[in-house]
Amino acid sequence: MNMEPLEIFTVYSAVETEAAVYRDITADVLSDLRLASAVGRIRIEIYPAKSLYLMAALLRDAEMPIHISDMAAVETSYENGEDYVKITIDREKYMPDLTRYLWAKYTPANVIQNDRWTILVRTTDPKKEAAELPLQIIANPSKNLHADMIEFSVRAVPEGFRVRYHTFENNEFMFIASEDIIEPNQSEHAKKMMANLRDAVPDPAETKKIIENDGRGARRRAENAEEEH
Amino acid sequence: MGTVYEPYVFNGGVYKHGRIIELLEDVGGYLVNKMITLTEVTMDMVIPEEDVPLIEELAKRQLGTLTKSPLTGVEIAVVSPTLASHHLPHSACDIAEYLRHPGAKTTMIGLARGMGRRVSLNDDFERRLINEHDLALYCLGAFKDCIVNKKPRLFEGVEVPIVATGGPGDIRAEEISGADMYIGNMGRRSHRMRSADEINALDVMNDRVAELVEEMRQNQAKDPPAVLPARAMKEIENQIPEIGKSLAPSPLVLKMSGVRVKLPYDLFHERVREVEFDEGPKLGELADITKSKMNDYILVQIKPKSEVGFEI
Repeated sequence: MNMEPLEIFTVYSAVETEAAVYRDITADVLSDLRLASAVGRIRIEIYPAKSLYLMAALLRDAEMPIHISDMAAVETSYENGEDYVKITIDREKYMPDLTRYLWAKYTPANVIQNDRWTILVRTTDPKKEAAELPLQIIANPSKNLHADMIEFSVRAVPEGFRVRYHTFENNEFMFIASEDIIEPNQSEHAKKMMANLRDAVPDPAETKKIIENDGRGARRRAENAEEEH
Repeated sequence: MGTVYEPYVFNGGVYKHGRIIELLEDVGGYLVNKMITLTEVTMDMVIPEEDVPLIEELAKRQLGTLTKSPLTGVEIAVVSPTLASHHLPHSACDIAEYLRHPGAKTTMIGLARGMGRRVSLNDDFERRLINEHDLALYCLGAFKDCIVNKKPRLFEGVEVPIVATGGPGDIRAEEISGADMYIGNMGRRSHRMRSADEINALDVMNDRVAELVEEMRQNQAKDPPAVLPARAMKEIENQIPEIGKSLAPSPLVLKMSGVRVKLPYDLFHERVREVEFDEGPKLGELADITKSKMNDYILVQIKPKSEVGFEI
């Protein structure tokens, strides 16, 4: 299903102001975990009197594996009397993955980063390495998505709701948390939420309103954080 | 009638700030805390009411500022139901940091089993630790139902005044059993409190806590401590030089009814008991000196005048 990031983002609780607090918290956690672009539609329902938290989320098509060429330019360079592989960073988002990969392959001593955007790699055959490096896969966002969604749910849920249940099938993530045993009707309700979310038609005007009316622009911040350089 | 002391904070340059300290000592005031950051110095002090203009004038000459700090000499326990990411670092740390602006010393306490609605509770050690403070401020969450119906269980056994903070703005303190005050528009956050609304809520919190402290001070004035805690603190500092070697960030913490001395109890409690005042009495005669629940520090709780029979 083709979806815009966070095209539906609703939080329900009996008291509207309390729902607004949790929408903010959800946006913050999405932003912290860089998940805003991965989630298409999300609905959360909280029933504090029953100690119940329900979340249904439809995830967008997962991102493709990231090659070094997707985030940096690789070339050879001659500096201080030595040949190096020079990597010029374009997208800093995958920097930790790149560094981890280079350290593992060349050892930290041979990976020199003099400034934020440039890495020099000392190697015996820089030409060959410079040709091969761009094709290497350094991150696979879809692989981490499941773990990230669970981390997201655990962080966003009210504290103390330690009885948890989740499913993750076909890009549909459902999460229930409670203080007591989760009843079958509660998981049925979560499934119904998921079905409604699937059938919903996002209203562009409503989405725009969310962006404009939300005082601190939580949704916008969640999206912006994705591509922060 | 005894001297009335007012709490103030001096902010200014390090250059010749010793003059302020000298004048403060000359007029009979006490320096509670001094912190130097690069070329700036921040000093918490209590000044005799009638001599405030003198210090104010000197502060002005030194191009510094002297502002009233209503929470100087107050030790506040900032209690969050747990130490999990739901409370820390935001909003509990923001609250504790903001309370320190008007001079309070804060201790952050995360309860071991404070989470949730049905299972939340506090234990004896935690209650005793909280009771060592002048005031307990609880950082609660976003749901009115929890704050009113479930969380008061965390207040059981806490004898110091209790301030509850939370998200909903429409709760009255009387609705929360055991709380002396409720401050809204705070509650759970996943980001630093920095928007205008959030800073405003923190300002309101400081003002209201200051009101409560003022009320507590007025009650205390009816039967004041046998010796001014700031004076006891000064004497401990002068007579036990080892305090200078304590690695704690504030080795002596002034409280409304005493002092927390951050030295090992077993090694130093006898010497604290022997601290002598010019008028003759020793600190052991004027105060209960016990082992603190915080590490193995020494807690000096000064007895009220009515119990000792005199005031120095």
